[in-house]
Parts: sequence; C-alpha cells; structure tokens
Amino acid sequence: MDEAIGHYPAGQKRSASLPLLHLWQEQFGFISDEAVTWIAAKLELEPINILELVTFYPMFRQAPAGRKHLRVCRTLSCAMAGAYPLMEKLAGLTNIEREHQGAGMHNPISVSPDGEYSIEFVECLASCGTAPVCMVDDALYENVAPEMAGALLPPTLSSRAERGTSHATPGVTREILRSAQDDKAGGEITAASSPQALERRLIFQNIGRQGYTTDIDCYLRNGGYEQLRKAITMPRSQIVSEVKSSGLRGRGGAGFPCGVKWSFIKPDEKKPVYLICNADESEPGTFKDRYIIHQDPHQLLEGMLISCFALNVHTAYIYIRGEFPEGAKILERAIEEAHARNLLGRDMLGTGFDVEIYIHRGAGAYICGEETGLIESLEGKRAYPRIKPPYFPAVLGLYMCPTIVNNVETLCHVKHIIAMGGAEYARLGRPNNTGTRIVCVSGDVVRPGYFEIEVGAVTMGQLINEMAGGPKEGRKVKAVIPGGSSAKVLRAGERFKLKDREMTLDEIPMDFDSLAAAGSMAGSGGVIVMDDSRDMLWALNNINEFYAHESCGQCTPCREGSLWMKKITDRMLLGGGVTQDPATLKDVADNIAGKTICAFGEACAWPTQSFLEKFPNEFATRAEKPIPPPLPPEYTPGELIAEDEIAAVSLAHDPGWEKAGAAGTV
Amino acid sequence: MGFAYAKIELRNPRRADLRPMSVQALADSGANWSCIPEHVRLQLELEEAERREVILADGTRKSIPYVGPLEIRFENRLSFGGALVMGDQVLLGAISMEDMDVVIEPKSRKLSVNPASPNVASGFVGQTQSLQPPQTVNVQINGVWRQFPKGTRLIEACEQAGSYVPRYCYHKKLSSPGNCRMCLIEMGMPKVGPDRKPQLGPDGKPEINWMPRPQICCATDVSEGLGVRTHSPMVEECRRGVMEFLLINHPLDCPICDQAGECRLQEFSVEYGRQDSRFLENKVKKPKNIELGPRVTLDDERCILCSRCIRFSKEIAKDDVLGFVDRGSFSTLTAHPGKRLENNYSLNTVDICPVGALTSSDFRFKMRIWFLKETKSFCTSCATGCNTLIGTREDAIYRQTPRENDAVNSCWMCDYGRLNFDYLQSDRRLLEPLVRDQDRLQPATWSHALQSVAALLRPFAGWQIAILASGRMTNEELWLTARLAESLGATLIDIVPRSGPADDILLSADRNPNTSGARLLRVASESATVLQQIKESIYSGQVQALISLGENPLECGIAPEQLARLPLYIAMDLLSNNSTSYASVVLPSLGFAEKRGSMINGKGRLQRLNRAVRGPGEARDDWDILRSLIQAISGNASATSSQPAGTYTIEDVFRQMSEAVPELSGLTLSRISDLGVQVSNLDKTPGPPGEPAQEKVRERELEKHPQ
Repeated sequence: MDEAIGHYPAGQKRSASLPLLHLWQEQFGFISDEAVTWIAAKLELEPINILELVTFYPMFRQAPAGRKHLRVCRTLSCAMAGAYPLMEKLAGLTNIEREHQGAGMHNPISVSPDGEYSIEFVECLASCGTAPVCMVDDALYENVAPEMAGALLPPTLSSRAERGTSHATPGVTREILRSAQDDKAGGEITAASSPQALERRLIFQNIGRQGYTTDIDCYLRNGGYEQLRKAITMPRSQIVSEVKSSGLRGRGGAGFPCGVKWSFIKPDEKKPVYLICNADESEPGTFKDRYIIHQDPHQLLEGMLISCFALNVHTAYIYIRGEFPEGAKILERAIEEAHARNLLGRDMLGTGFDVEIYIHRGAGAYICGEETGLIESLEGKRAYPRIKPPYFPAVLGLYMCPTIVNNVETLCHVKHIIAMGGAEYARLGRPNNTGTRIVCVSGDVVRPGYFEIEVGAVTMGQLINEMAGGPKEGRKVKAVIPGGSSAKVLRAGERFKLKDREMTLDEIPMDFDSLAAAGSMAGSGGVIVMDDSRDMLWALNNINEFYAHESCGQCTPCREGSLWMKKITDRMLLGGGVTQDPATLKDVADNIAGKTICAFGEACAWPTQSFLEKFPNEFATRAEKPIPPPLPPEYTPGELIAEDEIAAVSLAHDPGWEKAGAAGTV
Repeated sequence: MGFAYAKIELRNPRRADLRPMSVQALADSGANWSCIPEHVRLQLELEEAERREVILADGTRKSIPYVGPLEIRFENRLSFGGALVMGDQVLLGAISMEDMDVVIEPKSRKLSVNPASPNVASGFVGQTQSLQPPQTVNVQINGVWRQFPKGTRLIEACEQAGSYVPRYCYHKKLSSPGNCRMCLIEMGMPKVGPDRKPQLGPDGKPEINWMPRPQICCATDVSEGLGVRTHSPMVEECRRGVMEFLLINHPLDCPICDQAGECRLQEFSVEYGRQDSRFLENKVKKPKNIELGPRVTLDDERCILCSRCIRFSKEIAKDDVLGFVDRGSFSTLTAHPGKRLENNYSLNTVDICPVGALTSSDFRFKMRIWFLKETKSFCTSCATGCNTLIGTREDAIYRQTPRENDAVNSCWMCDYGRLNFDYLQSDRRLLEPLVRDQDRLQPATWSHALQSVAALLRPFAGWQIAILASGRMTNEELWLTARLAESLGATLIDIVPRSGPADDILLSADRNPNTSGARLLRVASESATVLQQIKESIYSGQVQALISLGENPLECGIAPEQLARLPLYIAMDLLSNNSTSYASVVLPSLGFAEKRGSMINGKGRLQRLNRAVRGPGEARDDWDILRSLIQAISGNASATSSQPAGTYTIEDVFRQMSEAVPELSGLTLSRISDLGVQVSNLDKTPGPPGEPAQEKVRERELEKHPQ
C-alpha cells in the first residue's frame, strides 16, 4: 500500500484512494465499513471522502460477492448479441433471483444461495466486436452466446480460465471458449488477425499477429524504442512542431488537434507538467485501446515516453479503466521491463532526463473518460468534471498543474509521427483528417472487429459491406451509429448534404469532417450497425440506460434528464407510451445538450435527439395513449403490465388519471 | 468610514464683501453632502438653490434646503459646492473632501491633505471615488455598457447592474463548482479584427461575438469587452429547463415543507416554473428525516445537490464531514455514520441551503417564516459580535440567523451564539422588582425599589461600596454605571472576565461581548486587578455594600458566607440565581434582544443592538434603571455633576458619552450603521473566514456604503 501511495507526489496522498480500495477489495473481497475508516486514516482523509468514492465507482462492493463473480455487459452491442438472455441463463443456472433493475444507482449484484456465484450487469466492457462478453472475476470471455452460459460455470472450466489469465491475452480465453463451442467460432475473429486490403496498419501492425508477444524483447526485435532513441536527439520544440505539422487529431472522441493541445504548455513552464494517458476506454462501440494495451503495450509506452520528453514531463500516469485488470498487469510488467533497460526512470537513456510512468486503475465510471473527470478521479475524488473556464487541463490540470491528457491511440501515433516525420505523416488520410485510425465495427454485421484505415480513405459502405462483411444474411442495414454510442445515429436511406455533394450513408468517407458534416461525429471510432430487425425504441432505451447509469450526477440537467429519458423510454417500451412522450423526450434532450459542465450532456442527449429525428414513426406508434397509465405509489414495469393488480392512485387534481385506471388503458 | 474635526474656512464666492467664516467642522466620510447650521447660512447670506430630501438615521425623511455656492477651504485646498442647511455644526461631507483631495488619517483621526499629493489636489477624472484607482473593465450587460472593478464575479456584476441572475450552487463566500446550471447566460467576447484589435460598432463600442452555447456566470470574472445577456429567450429557456429538472424528483409538498417562504425553488418557480408537470414517472426515493448531526436535520429528497453545505464545511468550518454518495440521479447527501455534522458552525449549512433539505432541528416546524419579524442585531455571546437577524413573533424569539458583515462575521455565526437566546424565555426570568422586607424578598413597585436602593446605600461611604459590572452591558449602561459610581464616590468597579476556548473561525476567547467598551469607558480594569481588589475588600470587610449588575458574585470567587455577611447587596439581573436570595433589592433588567444600546467588539467595532421583543413583566431597560438610580441617589431628577442636561432617552446617554469619549465623538446611537462603525483598531487578528484583511474590507465598505 505504501508503494501505491509513493506513486503520487508528496502531499497528494489522496490520489492513492482508488489504488488502496482496489488492494483492499482484492484482499478481502469487498469494502467494509472498517475499510472506509482505515483507508481514510491511512491517507489522512475524512471517512466521508472514501465513502464518497466507494459509492461512486460501481466496481467497489460494499458487500461480499460470490466466490466467482460474473459480470455481463448489457450495453448496446452486447445486448444486440444476446446479453440479456445470457444473463437470464446464468441466473437460472446459478439459482439466482435477480433483484429488479433500477432500484438504486448500481446495477445490483446478486449472489447465489450457496455463495458460489454472483452475477452483475455492467456497462460496456469495451469488447463490442466480440459481443456478447462476460467477465468471470478478472478473465474476459468473448462471444458468449446465451446457449454457452453453462460453459462459464463448471468449476473445471473456470479454474482453467483463471490459470490461463495470469499472463494471457484475451486470445487465450477465447481459445478456451472456442473449445467449448465448436461451430460458433467462425470468421469474426479472423477479421482481427489478418489485415484487409483496405486497411493501412500503423498502430495495429502487431495486433493479432501470430507469435507476437507483449514482452520487451519481442518489441525490440520489431524495431521497438528506435523512435524514442531518435526523439531524444531532437530538440523538444521540434518534436512538438512535428506533431503539430502531422495534423494529428485526438482519437478519444473530440478530435482536438494534438499538436495544438501540446503547444498550450509553455516551454519554460515552472510548475511540473503531467501527461496522462487516457486508457479509460468505455464509449460503447469502441474497443481499440484494449488491443493496444493487451497486445502491444510497449508501443504505448514508447509513444508516451516521446511525449514526456517533448513536453518535459517527469511524471506520467496511465489511467486505465478498472475493467482491464489484465491490461493493467501487462502494462505494469512493460513498465518494469522498460525500467530495467533504462528506457524510463532516472536519467533515461543517459539523457539526464528523469521520467516515471505509473498505472492508475479506474473503477467502473464512464465519466472518467472525460479528461477533467479523469483528473479528479486521479486526484482521488469522485470523477466530477471541472468547469472550463477556468480549469483547462493545460493550465490547471492534475494538482492544478499544466496537464496533457491524450488517448491511448493518439499517443501511439506520436511514435509513428517521429518515425515518418510530421509532414510525411500528414500525407496519410485527408487534409485536416490526417493519419490512420482504428475503426471498431460491432453490431449486426457478419465480421465485427477492428480495422485500421487511412482517415477518410474508406467509405461507410466499404467499411460495413466489404471489411465487416455486410449485414447478416437476409438483413439490411437500418441505422449506423458512427462514433460510439454518443454519436448521432445515421439512418440508411438518408441523404446527407456534405460540402460538395449529396450522398448516401454508404458514401460517407470515414473521417472527422465528413461525419460532422453528416450531422454526427467520428467520435472514438466505434461504429455500431443495426439491421432492420432492430427496434429503435429498444435500442435508444438501452443507450438511455447506459447514460442514466453513468451520469456522474454533478450538474442538474444531465443528472435529472438522463434518468428521466430512460424512464420515459422504459415506459414506452412496456406499452405505456403517451402521445406527448416523443415531444417530452426531445425537450428533455434539448434541455440537456449544451447546458452541462462537460460533454456528457451532449453524449446523452444526442442519441435521443437523433433517434427521434430519424425514426419518428417508430416512436409515434409506441406513444399513442391519450393519457398516462395509472401510477401506483411504487411500481415496477412488470406490475405496470399486470394492471389489474395495481390500485390506481386517486389524484384529486386530475380525474383523468383515475379514469385511465378504470378504463384499463394500459 | 472615518470622522475627524478640522478647521475649515467657508465663504460665499458671490459676495466678496462678506468676511469668510472660520469654523470647526466634523469631517465625515460616511456622509455625501456637507451640512451647515442655519446661522452660517445667515452669516454668509447663502441662497437656497433647491430642496433636497434626506433620510435621517432613524429612517424618517425630511425636506431640507440646499444652498450655495459655498466656497470651502482647508489648508491649501479649495472646493466650490453647496451644502444642506441642517444640524448645529458644520459637517464636511465626502464629496467636498474628495473635491479638495483631503483624507482622514485613520490613526491620528485628523483631516489632512492627501499625502500622496500634498501641494496640488489630484484625482481621477471620469469615474472613481476611491483613493486607489481600482482597475475597471467595460462590460456590456443587456445592451448597456458598464464599468466594474477587475476581479468582479460576472454574476455579481449582473446583480449590480440590476439583472439578478438566479442561482442555487453559487454563494459569494464559497468556491464556484458551477453545478446547478441555473445561472446560464448568453456571453460574448469582443470581435477582434485582423489587426487583433476589437472591432468597433457604429456607436464606437466594441462589437460582440456571441457564443452559441449558454455559459455559467458564477465562475467567470468580468473582462474587458465582455457582453452578457441575462434575459434573452435562450437564457429563459435554459432556466425553465433547469427548473423543471430540479423539480421532477423533488417532493412538491411545499405546504408542509419547513423551507416554504424562503425556498429558492419556490422563488424561481414563480419566474421560470411550469404550471403543469410533464413528469409521469415515479420520483427517486431517498432517505428522509436524517439527523445529520445534533442540530441539523436532512431530507435528502429535497436536496438539489448544489453542494453549498459540503463546500461550507470544507472551506469555512474546516470540517470536511459532508459528501455525496451514489451517483447520477441517485446521488445523496450524507455524512459518514462515524463522523457526523457536529461542528460549532453546522447551522450555517441550514442558512445557505437554498431548499428545504437542511433544516435546523431547533427551529424546524416551530413557526412559518412569513410570520417572523426580523430585527437587525448582533450576537452577544462573545467578543466577535456576529451580526444577526432575530426572528420573532409576538415577543417570542424563534431563531437567530447571521447577517452579512464582512468586517465582522462574513455570512456566518457559530451554533453556540446562534442558539444562545433561550435564557431570555426562561422561567427564571425576574419579572418584578423585589425588596427585602424582614427576611423575605417581596415584590415592590419600581419607585419603591429605587428609593430603597438609594436609602440603603446612603449610610455607606464611597470606599465601602463596590460595583460588579458586566462585560455584557452596553456602552450606555456602562457609562451610566461609571456615573453611578461617581455619584456614590465608589472607586471599586470592574467587570467580570469571561473566557472560553477560541477557534480561529469566529468564536473569540473573550466571551464578554463588550469588554472593549468597558475598557474604553474605564469600567474594566486591566487583567481584572480591581475585581481582585473587590474580592479582597469584601473578605477584609472594607466593602460593606456590593452592587452587582448582571453578574453573579458567587460565580466570580465570592463565597456565599461572605455575600451573606455583607450588610448590603443589590442585584440587577435578568435571571434569578443562587445569589439572588442574598440581595436586599433585586432589580429585573432586560436581555440583549429586548433593548437598544451599543457595544464595541473585540476588534474595536461599535455596533448597535435593536429591540426585537418587549421584555417580560415589569423588567426595565438597564440604562433606565441606572439613570433612575443615579437620580434617586443624588436626589435630583434633573442633573448630577456629570450630567448637566436631562437624560430622557438612551440617545441622550449616548450623546453625553460621545461628548466625553473622543473615540465616539460625532456619533449618535441612531447613526451607527447596521454594519457598525470602526471606532478603534484594537486588534490585528485576521478577519472572518474567507474575507480579506481588515483594511481591504474597510476599503470595500467605503465603496459599497457611501451612505
């Protein structure tokens, strides 16, 4: 524990809150009251400071879980692939009666009567290309079709999986599952292993490569750390200007030019400058960073070390999401290896430059992907995003010092910019949309997976139909969410007016500016495809549930609005939609977007706004009741349908409600 | 603010034939206009230019002639202007002082020419009145360009411009998290041309580039060329949206909510609320009626998560006990069960809670607040003298809340002081004068009681009498106590020190509210030496008569048997106590909320108590008792040696005192502002939490309240 505290500057002990909580939970299984007071005392904090964290981050449990803890992803891509039936199956097999959803903020954990298993629905595990996915303790299982649920449970299989995970890539666990299920392994995985013709692999050169391992020797054999050696011979300002001239735009979602961000740091800055690698990959539909971390960790380290050198950063953190326990271990080991070769640490490569990189694990909060939320979380607080102005990270970031927060993929690109030179790199892709980027395709396609393309060199149609194998047999694409679930949905058959001409969905080039012009965004590169079998209300409800669960609750519009939208779509889905619902939904979304502290406001409002705009009929036909259903004091959606058993509430001010109950309108 | 006497020369510039008048004037930077008495006007034959309405300190309005031109000279300075004809002395107002570039030196209390420019009057043209030029910036608020000092919060600037921006989370004394989103406004920056200079519109003012998204104004300071719209359709839309969001999960049971009447949700609902609810779902259930600490009750369903209480606890009370648990819409305010909200400042969270989430366990559901009458006063539980509002109804006190005064207590007060009023409503209150008849104290009329005291004291020489005064007495009472001692020829007089542990927030170690006043009026000795003497003299038998005024001799080291042995013991007090039974005469007096009077706090600030309730029974105002006693003793209703004029009101007492005490000169009781007046600089300890140094506060006051 003291070692964990040592990862943070003196006087910043509070930052060690999350690491200590993780350590405690690993040791004792859950965070007891005693743990809260003990950790608070250890870090010289008030107990409430720790209690605030335990209840904010869903990965921390305040009660013991089963001996095997199963986490099933319930977010859109997994849900489309059958996560809900999988959950039911698992619950049946383990004799667990799941508590009803929505009773509180956490997806409840249910423990089997024998204490052997516990199951929990979780939000996106960032493996949408292999949906549905499920975690058994720290091991990820991919492509777990509901009928395979049983395969997760027999102790023999689980223990084998556990043994396999200690230093395994997801490939190993995949192997195990594949052996449990012969015929389903199919083509979806091969997409990842061998690059397609339309791809241009830069970052993902070594991902899925046969025989490529995560250790430093393998990396060095493949030309690793050459660019770092080159960079340290360059003047710092030159590295920054190379990045600037490369035109690299952030790959985390906002697409902000990386070089511009870097140039906010004054070369003569007196305060310490921090670099944070944002590895909190949790935007539904996005699963690119996972592969870099799990299969090519040194590439990330090299990119970071070059960036540290360029920005005069002596301490850098990798904020990795809590659901990547294996990734954290792999990165820890990579750091150790790099340390042993003096690629980082004191006097790095004899340059006289000291640099340390530490891993900081999140604990299940999507909002930590927002850079100021991430900084707060790294400071050991609830991940409440900061107001900007005045707290621009480049000025007042981590510990109120200038801080650069970059996405994993963005930092990896730095290495290739040094290799190619900024100008040469800028020739990849299109003007203002340079380089390559990894696009993740999930949902209703034959071969979901990741594809690294030159930005803008591939159209949506090529991506879906050629690279991802097109829609499943007999199905047509109905809608595409092009940049993670926050991006506005695009409807097949829509005509998009781009700068020069009108085009169809299939013709849109996959770049930042074209997708923005089409009214959506390239975001984090997570493309979710929905075919004509999908109910748009159901899809929106799934997304709404994600945002209602992940809203940090700091500012009013998002805190109240995200849950409200979810409740409305819940009710509509269960047949209780009233005529004003679509209008109310739109109003609620409009009242959130642009009014919140951080971009989460837009992220949760855009799906609702765009689904309603693009698929008005699907919503209108589910919202035909003239008056709302009777509202019992406490009701559950199940009870709402079994209307007979509900005593209608008498509401003196609105007799319409009572009539509704009597007339049985539900 | 400051006062000083200065010799000035007055002339009528139109009448060279009239000789100038040299007068002693009271320079008062707290008054805008200069005043001259009628006889000066007659002498200089000044003409009436117009009539002006003035508001007197007691709130009455009067129409007063304004005469001029009047030439004022002080040393090498000159000013032309007019003056109001009122009062009986020449008063030099701030406008004339500014005009002459003269200042009041705070230390010597003398008027002098501005030392920064001793030979020529210097000043700033166009705008500022203060001595140091505050840097100002131009801000356009709702189409009107205004100037604000640099560093002004935009939300404050809007308020000063008359456009109040609704807010929940923002509190001017706390950090700004910007979480409620109620203060969203439209903001714009000056358009910058290719030459990097602001582009000017046809009116010569910078053109503004409006941002497409609304911005919060609680976390931004004003900056040059900033544009703001506080009531545009977009802004109103935002506010309506936020209001709706805040109410969907909030209980709508206002009639039974204790916050009703002072609830910000209710207030802003009037402007931005919807008539109907569009929320057809169940509300989020949260804990209710939680004892967050011994004095604060929490209803989490009413909480709008503005985090004011959390920030107060952390930033002001330095006791980080509150926090949110859970997430999203389920976020819940709470304290850790092992460490509750128990600090001595906990009730301030109730004051700043904009809704009915945090309520005072003492006050809740006792009284609807719209029935409360609020009287401005200050707390008398320690030497800090936190400014307060006393909430009363029909002569009963229901609560005390802090009143903002940046020179004293900022916006806060401690729980100890706040709740320390119950004793006024105690059944131990003395309700009528008591006079010993045989062996028993019997109710008596006031005149009988006072005459008895005079008669009982007559046999004793001054050196046989000791007076035990109190640091809880007002200046007026202390002044009269000193006069009483004079008329008795007594010299053994002191107050009883009272101390307790101090914190470095507001609570002072000196638990007497008026030690400074007692020292100034020479009633209190340094380090209680006289008190020691009194005790010894009682013990030795030299003192035969003891008068205690609001103090219990048994609690300051005088043994019961010594008290019993004393031939005469007179007690004036609020409550009966274990020493009352030894008294020959008991005179019931009034508590701090029942009377007027002034006190000087530990930092030398003169403040005024105002009467919030009437005293019970026949209890009389302390100054009145003392005045009558002096009269009874000197056998003369009109005068004593030190009181040449009649003393009919407490104002008269103050006047006599201000004439004799230089620190109070030029003041009257009514003229003490609601925020008090600094009369001496007694101590250099830091100001209230979250406030700049005293000097800064004073400067700011000068700007804010030029009276």
